Amino acid sequence: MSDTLKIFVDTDVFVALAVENDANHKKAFPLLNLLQEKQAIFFTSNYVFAESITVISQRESHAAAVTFIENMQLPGSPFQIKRVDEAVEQAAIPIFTQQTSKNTSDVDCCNIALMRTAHLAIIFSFDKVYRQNGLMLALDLFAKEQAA
Amino acid sequence: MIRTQVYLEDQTHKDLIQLAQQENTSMAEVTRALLKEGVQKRKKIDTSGIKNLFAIANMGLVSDDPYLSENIDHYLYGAPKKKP
Repeated sequence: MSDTLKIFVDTDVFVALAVENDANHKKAFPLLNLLQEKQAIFFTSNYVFAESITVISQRESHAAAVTFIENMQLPGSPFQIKRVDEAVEQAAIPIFTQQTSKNTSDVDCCNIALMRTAHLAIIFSFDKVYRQNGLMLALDLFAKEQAA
Repeated sequence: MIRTQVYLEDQTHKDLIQLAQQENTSMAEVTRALLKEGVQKRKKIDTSGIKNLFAIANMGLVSDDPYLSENIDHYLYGAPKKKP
């Protein structure tokens, strides 16, 4: 069980997968196939879930957002959503204050704090901010394997 | 069998006693049966998330911003676009 690959999924990948003409769709889909081969287990946070629903609703349609929710809550296979509680919010504050870019969101910092709390080291995202904060992007996982 | 101890909520404890009386059996037997049933049910649930991600990948949405996934903070929080 300790060898199970546990991956946190960020908003950009949910959107990249859902939108077929998105620039990252062609990168995210093959990665998903590779992660499936590795029998990875995926998680996200309630903040990421909320962001994903909102951006899909705003930029696509309310119906598309509802379909996204349904796909996250498939009968018999619900996606695991970890809640950002008070302790995680507090842990995110020093992470936020250490950032050097004004464009790193508090949600990004809560994701980092949540992952540290849950001992998750790999994030399915294309945002380099996570790499700068000591996390491994799922993309790097396979680049590392190809180099080895 | 292995002996173990767990804390139960008051209402759950009352329910178990009531069920045992109704079924003319012991609370231990009712608890064992319910746990067995619950564990079997839980084992059938796939919480890996892989089915969800493939279902999302098949939504086939089309955006007027081909860099939507990189510009999320722009649309949600007013941050500058990463890609124009």
